[in-house]
Amino acid sequence: MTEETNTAPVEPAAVEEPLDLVRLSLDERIYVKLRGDRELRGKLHAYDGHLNMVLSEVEETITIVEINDETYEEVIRTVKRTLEMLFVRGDGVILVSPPVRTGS
Amino acid sequence: MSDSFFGFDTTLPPLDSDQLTGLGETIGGQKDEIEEEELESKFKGISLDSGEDFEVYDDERDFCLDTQLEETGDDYNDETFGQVGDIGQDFDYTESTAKIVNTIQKEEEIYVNRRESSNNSENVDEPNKRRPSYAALWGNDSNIIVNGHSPPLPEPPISPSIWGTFHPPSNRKDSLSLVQDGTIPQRYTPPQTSPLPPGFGLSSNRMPMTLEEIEAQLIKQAGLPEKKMLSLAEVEAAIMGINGRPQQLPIHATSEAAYRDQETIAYLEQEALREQEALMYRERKRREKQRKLADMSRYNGLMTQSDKDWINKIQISQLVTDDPYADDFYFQVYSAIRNRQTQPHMSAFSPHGGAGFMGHERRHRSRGSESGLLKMQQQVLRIVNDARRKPKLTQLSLEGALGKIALNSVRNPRQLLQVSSKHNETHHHTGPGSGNHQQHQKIPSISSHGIIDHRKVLRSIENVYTAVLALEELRRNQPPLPRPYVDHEREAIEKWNEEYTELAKTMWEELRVTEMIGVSYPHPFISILSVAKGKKVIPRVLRHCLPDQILTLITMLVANFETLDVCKGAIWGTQGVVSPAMLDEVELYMNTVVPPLLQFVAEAPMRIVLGLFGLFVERNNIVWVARSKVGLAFLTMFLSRTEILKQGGGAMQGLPLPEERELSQWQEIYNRLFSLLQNHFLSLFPPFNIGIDDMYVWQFLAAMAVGASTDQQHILVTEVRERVLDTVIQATRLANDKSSSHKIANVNLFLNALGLDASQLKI
Repeated sequence: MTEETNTAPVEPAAVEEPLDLVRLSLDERIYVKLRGDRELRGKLHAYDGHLNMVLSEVEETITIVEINDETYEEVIRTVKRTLEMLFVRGDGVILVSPPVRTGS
Repeated sequence: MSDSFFGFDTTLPPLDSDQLTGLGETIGGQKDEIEEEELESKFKGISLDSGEDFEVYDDERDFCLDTQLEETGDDYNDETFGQVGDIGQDFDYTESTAKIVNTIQKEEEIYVNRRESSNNSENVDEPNKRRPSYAALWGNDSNIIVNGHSPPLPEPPISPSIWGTFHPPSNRKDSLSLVQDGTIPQRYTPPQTSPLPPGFGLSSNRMPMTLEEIEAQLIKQAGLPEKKMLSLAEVEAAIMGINGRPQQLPIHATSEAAYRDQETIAYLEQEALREQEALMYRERKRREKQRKLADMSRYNGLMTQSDKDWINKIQISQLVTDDPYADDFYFQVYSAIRNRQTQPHMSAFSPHGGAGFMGHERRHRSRGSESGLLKMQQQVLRIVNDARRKPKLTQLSLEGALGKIALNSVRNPRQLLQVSSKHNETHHHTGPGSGNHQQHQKIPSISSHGIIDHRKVLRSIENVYTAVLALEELRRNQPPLPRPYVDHEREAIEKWNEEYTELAKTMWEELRVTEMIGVSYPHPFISILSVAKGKKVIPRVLRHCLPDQILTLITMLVANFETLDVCKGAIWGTQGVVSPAMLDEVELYMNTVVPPLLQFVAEAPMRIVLGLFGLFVERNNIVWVARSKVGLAFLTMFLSRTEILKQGGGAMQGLPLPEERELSQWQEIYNRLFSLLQNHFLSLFPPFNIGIDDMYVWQFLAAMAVGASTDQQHILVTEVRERVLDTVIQATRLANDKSSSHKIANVNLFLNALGLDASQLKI
């Protein structure tokens, strides 16, 4: 963003406020980190100011930490499931990441 | 009381209890007069004279019951209860009550007279004062209580109609007495519980009867059927049970004993026992249910219809909106789709909330609760009109209040943060005053130093979407065509036109079609098309474009074709495999961008098609581009359109046959294309046997074959001969398979264009 402000100070930047970044990710696959050790990867269809979101073709990853009763070792395992369409309530959202672009 | 400020003695002379209640009730009574503002006043009324009157009322009614019992009930006691010897009178409170009835009446008269003389001015309100608070809520007349004090009257003027709109809070005792009223009519005939007229439950205030009342009525009408007798006996037993003497078993024992005397078949006995048990079980269930119902119906009729309307209004007013498409878009679209699918069944699913009330949904109504829904709709309409009339206030300043009171609603929630709205101004404000120059300043260039900023591309797409949505919104709200001499209609359509043109211009600029070629790579418009949502928006954009704008767009696309992601990224052969994601993109492109452009080309005159065709061949590396599906699709499109025009197909659109000059121009372009592709025809095909449908290649070859000279046809056939044979061989191997006939059909597309057929081939 600093580059833009240097070269073209008159022009508004593509991203002016945080939610703009989410807006630009509409219709793209995004990564969402949720409370309770959950992560989502899916296509963003809609969002609002609370970061309530509608995602499609979602892959949810739940990380579960289990402690072995005898050895007290932490066993970390992940559970994955896919969902066709998902409504995410915004109060659980920690992080929203736009798609990582490769190439170009 | 606040006068103490001035140092006066403000203690009032002590009031006796009558005066105190009178004071409270006077306030209540006055409030009652203002029926329009009833809700608030009612709440006040409740708080002022609750409790006390409630109890008074209950006592008086019980008292009334007792005296009525004495009055009419004793005549057939013998028949009902049989001969019961001499019973001591020491517990007969009803009789002792009867003795003092006269005294009570006198007291009552004295009381009433005293009240009348003491405040003559409020004479009219007299009955209202004695009205219990919740009776006031029901807005009913209050004679009940006053008359309740004169029980010895032979016919108390408590008509059932009064009770019809007034439902006492039912308690267990009452309901039981009602049931008994049904079974043993001689025992009690209190006027309050006399059989209620039919339609009782439909009275204006809609007080439903309790289940017990209905049942008692039913029993009476049915003439006590056999089965009912048993259940009633059980009710009786239940009453006994309350007194601590469970008598259910003896009753059954006796009836069973009688049964056994007649027939001593054990089986039947067991059967009967089981039946009894089942009956008892059902009875228990029923009683349980009744009890629950009675429990629930305790608060029946606590709210008047206007109370309910008020609550409904509060709830619905949150949902009412001027602009259902903006506030409830998904419902609108969903219901539109649903409407289309199931037109006849729609009425059953009429929405009960949301902005659906606003628009076209209003004409649907549910069959069942038509009147209720109608009422609801009328109310919604009223609320909407109210809201329209009043401008939306966000804050309110009351006289004497410090500061302003914020009015929050769903649309206007309490503001916690103050964020400058600079963003909105720059991006969404496109006032009619802003000139062309200004407009261009607002649209930032998508690249800096020739490098495309991907985020800016996305931003552009979002802006295009914003404009498109606004345009679609405008289209929906297009004012009707103005009638002559109706000025405001003409003005409306002019204003609409202005807005529409302005928005269409913004959209067009955001598309960046007109930006210079060569400044950045790839061209901004091509960058927009390289994003999935950019492709998706194209059909919606083109609906708002003028024909020459579409031509500009298609020209720009053709000129920069090889930089398209779906072209450069989906070429078979050199890179080997095309990724599934890219295949999806190609599919999307074919389904979104191509159809509207195809439609445009299919109506274009020869001159324009030749221009585009020529540009396509000149500007792009044809051998390269033709190996992509989209490139080949464009070539096929141009070839087939020119062929149609050559054969006079343009007559349908009123176009003349192409001129000689145009025909020679076409021949030139065709020959150039053919020579470019010569020796590469086979490479146009996607790899054999990877499950890609190669129909589009056959279509292209067919289009080529139609326009080819004999020599060119010969070259064509020689080059793709191998592929033809391979496909036919594969098809014959797959006999019976569906794909086999499809493959043959594909090959035939090409062979038929040459005047051949796959069946002529000898393998």
